[in-house]
Amino acid sequence: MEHAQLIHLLVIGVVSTLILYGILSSLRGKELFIRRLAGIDAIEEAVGRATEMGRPILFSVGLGGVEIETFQALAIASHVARLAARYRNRVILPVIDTVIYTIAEEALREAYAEAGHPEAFRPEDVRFLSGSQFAYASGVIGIMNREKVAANFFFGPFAAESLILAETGQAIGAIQIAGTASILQVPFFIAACDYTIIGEEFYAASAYLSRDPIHLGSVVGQDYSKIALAAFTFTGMIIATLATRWAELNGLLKFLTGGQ
Amino acid sequence: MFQPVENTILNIALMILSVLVSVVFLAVLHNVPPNLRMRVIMVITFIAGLYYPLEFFIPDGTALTPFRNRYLTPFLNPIGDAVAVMAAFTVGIGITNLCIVHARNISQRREGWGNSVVFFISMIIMFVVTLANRYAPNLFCTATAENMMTPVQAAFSVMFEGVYTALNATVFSLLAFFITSAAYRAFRIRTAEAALLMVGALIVMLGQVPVGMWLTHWIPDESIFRFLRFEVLSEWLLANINMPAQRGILFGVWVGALAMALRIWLSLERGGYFGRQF
Repeated sequence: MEHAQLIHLLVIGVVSTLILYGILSSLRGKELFIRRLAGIDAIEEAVGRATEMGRPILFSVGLGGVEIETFQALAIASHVARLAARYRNRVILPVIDTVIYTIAEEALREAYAEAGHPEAFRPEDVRFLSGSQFAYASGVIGIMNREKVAANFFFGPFAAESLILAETGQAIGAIQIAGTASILQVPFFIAACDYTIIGEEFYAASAYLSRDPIHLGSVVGQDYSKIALAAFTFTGMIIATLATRWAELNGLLKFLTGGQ
Repeated sequence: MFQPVENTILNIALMILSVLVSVVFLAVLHNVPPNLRMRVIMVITFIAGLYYPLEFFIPDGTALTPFRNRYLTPFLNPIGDAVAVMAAFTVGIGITNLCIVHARNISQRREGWGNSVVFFISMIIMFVVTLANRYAPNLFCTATAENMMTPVQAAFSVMFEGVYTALNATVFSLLAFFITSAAYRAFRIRTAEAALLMVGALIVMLGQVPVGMWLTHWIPDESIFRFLRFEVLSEWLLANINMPAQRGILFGVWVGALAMALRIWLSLERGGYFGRQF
């Protein structure tokens, strides 16, 4: 395993402190504002539309295994399931990873119970399809066509299958909302989905949805961190430029980066 | 750090003991009051989550010389193995779910139930052939020549390379058609931004293909207008517009992932699957 240099400790330490500071401020009752996101607002519209049409909803967490991105996707899935449960609609959640299958089933079961309709949850709607990327993709497009889903949610880590899924959803006329931190897949989702949540918006989604002080504080802490990182990058750029002229600064840079 | 146990009986005994300990632990955890269960999970999450940051942050001696020893590094592989073993427990659950869903499709004659029949036949054949190929490749006869395959090996090759790999490639190839239809929609010029996107995409595409380079090859290398060559413009767009934008987004992604990781590690996350109250 790669080991940290001093610079890693410094950056991660500062960012973590700022995020925790944001959370603590929020817990102490500080009023925090975060702007609305069209993609998040559209979630309720998509669930409502699917219910009006009497068709189920599909929520794909992509190639998500046990990783942060998948947990974030499952937090959003819980919210979608709570909304769907309110209207007694179905949420079909196909997964590629067996560990995530067990977590997802529990998350959806709890979401339906919290919404007051535990009987509306069908355990077979959380499906492990395959551990293989394209077998999973063909399984999901099969579900879309057979179940005639009216709304598709694609949240989580995606790779080449993203466009296969999104274009199939487009072809069957489903309203589609996507969110991923996989930067290479963002253009595909933008081209094929009605709403796309990109980059950090994906991680901020649960704060918009839950309005939980911990989440809100975390998002504000992230913003502080980005300001600090931007300042840090700008300072680093100036030091690196000057270091080409002065040997002392070059020595400082070498110390911070472990002699690289 | 941990050497594999060579004694078969001891090995089996240890495996049974580990399964028993896991079952007892889970049974106890399941039966304790929810508050206590949450606290136990919080403590385990914190300790488990603490290992990797400590292993990562204990310096390797290049930046701070006093701490040269990597005390935690020898545990890296055993911990990775333990995580893999825990994940393996869920494979059976996943396959059971798959079988239940398809068995219901068949028993209730749902639309496409024939696919479920194909699923069961394929799964059984692949399971048997893979096991035979692994443990008894000479089941029916042995290969008489060096490059010759036995019937079992040939069956595995047909099933895996001839069917499975080919099917994977087939689904992947669908992407070419989907990219075309998505590109058509994306490049329809409706707004100023879409027009800009179209122009940018056209330049990048032309900069990547020989015909694009040929179109502007007449601009001399030493000319001040060299930047108008498609390959130069394309490279400039990718390196100076696309890459900084991507890095900007990635900054946000990394900070967001770190925030989520912190919330999970410190049990501050209150999603449905982390428990509503503690």
